[in-house]
Amino acid sequence: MLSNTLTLLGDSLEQAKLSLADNKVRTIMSIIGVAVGIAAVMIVGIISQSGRNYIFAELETYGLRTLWVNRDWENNNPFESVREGSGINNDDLSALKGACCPALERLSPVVYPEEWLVPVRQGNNFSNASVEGIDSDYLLINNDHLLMGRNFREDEIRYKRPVAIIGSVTSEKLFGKHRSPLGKSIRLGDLRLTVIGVLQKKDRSLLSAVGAAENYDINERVLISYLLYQQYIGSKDIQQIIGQATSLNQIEVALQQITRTLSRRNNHHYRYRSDSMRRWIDNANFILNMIYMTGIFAASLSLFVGGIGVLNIMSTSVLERTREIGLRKALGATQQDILRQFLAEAMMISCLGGMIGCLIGLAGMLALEWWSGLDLTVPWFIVSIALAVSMGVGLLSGLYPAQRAAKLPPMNALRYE
Amino acid sequence: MIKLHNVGKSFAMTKERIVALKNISFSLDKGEFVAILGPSGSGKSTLLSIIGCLDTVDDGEYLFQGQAMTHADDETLARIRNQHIGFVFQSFNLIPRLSAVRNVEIPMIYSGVSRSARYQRAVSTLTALGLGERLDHTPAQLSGGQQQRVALARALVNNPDLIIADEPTASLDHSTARAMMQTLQGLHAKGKSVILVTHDIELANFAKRHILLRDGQLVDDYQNV
Repeated sequence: MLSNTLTLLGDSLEQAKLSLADNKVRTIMSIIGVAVGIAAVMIVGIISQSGRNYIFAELETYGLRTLWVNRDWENNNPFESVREGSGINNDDLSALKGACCPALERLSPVVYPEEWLVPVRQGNNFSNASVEGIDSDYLLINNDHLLMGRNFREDEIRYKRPVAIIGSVTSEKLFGKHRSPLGKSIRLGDLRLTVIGVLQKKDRSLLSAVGAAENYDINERVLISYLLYQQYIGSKDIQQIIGQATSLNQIEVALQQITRTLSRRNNHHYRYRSDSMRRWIDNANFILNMIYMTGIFAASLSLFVGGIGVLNIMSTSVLERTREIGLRKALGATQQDILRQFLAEAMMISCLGGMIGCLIGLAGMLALEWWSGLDLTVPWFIVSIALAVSMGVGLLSGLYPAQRAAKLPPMNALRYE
Repeated sequence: MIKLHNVGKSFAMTKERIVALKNISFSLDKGEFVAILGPSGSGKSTLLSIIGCLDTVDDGEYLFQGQAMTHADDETLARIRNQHIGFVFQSFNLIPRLSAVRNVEIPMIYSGVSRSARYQRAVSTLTALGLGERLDHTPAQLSGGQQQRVALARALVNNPDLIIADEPTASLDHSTARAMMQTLQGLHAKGKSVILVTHDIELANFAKRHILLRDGQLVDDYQNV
């Protein structure tokens, strides 16, 4: 039974091959039709998948469980005069570190002046850096890694030691590419700070390009003890709480716990804004999915057109071969046999088209990689779906002509020239 | 062998129904050689379709080897065409892209014969008809007579009981036509039933019995002596 089925299959394929070879130009045209459709789907898939990978790699530089809370400057309590200050102070910070926020794993204050960028000097060199006063957990939360040197010790933070960790671009601007800044001093106003660490470079070029990142270079940062910075600025304010939730699912809970604690402690004088990486990722996902769907829809249209091509060619082929169909019936072919033969032809066109389309897609990807210098990812899931779709296209567009062929009354075609 | 009883067949055209066959009754014994004669439009094609199990009757009854074909399904009809009937056509109807052997193999594809057995049987049938040297030629590389012999080999390769020859010599010159008729006679002598459709009375005289059709009706059925 099995060998019988295999023989049947082999015969159908062989007959299909012969009759397709009989009409080379037409066969090739329809194969190209399907191939272009598949290639389009594949290239759209490759571009969107790779774009997604790049964007998420950059989003990860923020730390996936990261959350931020600060005063909502635009939304004040309408029943009070507008208050000064950031609405977060060192006592609030101690409270947040206590039992109020079980969903929060660790946190750090971020202190920065109103004038965001501050010139930092070393000899005649300077860097307009974003100077942030922080606690020692900041690096962990913010997914920052050290290129060289070490993190702050607890006592350095608490006793306002004049030590700093600097960003890689700041380091380059102040010390050049080849000198190690470790142990050397830099000047921030009248503060003289000793460099204890240099941060690894973070790439947010794609996000900056679409305006989704900070409007300064994240690699031009200078980090110092928040207590030291508060003293330098002359204020007890903390501008922002940056924290890490115990898990991805606890982010919203942690945010609620923080804002509630802050509101209560400040007698609801301030309103707070919270944000989290999770929200960014969800938004990014939503937008990327929309773009993706649009692209896939457009590409599917071209695959659909390819399918129409196969339908057209199979229909013509049936018309041209009424005599052959009649003959095969006279020699003992059942309607199923005829159906199978024409389906085999349609499938052969679409499968070949699918495979060639995949190759074109891969070639397109290599060309894109060479041209853009980016590492692209092949979304094999999309490719396999596209291939399945092309086979489906072959099946569907072959079915109607094949059925018509199977039902043809044979005698008239056989008797007359 | 076959038996037709009050067979009628009509076709729906755009406005009216065309009656192709009306009240046809005759039977054919095993081993008979009969010629069906009639002008074009007399219903020969339709009658052939029914006898050859390519179509079913609207009215009456058609029995093939005692089995009623009136309501037979596609698969039953296909199996009978494949196993018991061999067709030879005026225009040979060889598939141009296939070699002689491949053409002769087709009926065996549909009866599920294995590839190697198929090839061997096709070769021996062709050789018996004197085409042993022409196995791999395509129809275009063969003469008319040779093409008709390939078609005959294809009709015989499944060893059918009934051979339906539809104007088999109309495309051949006189001497090849005679040779073809002698071959058919030889098959008849070996006990096969042969139905010859023709309008050429000289060819019809090879058959022992004549059936005359006109306007879809059987007008005469006589022994040819």
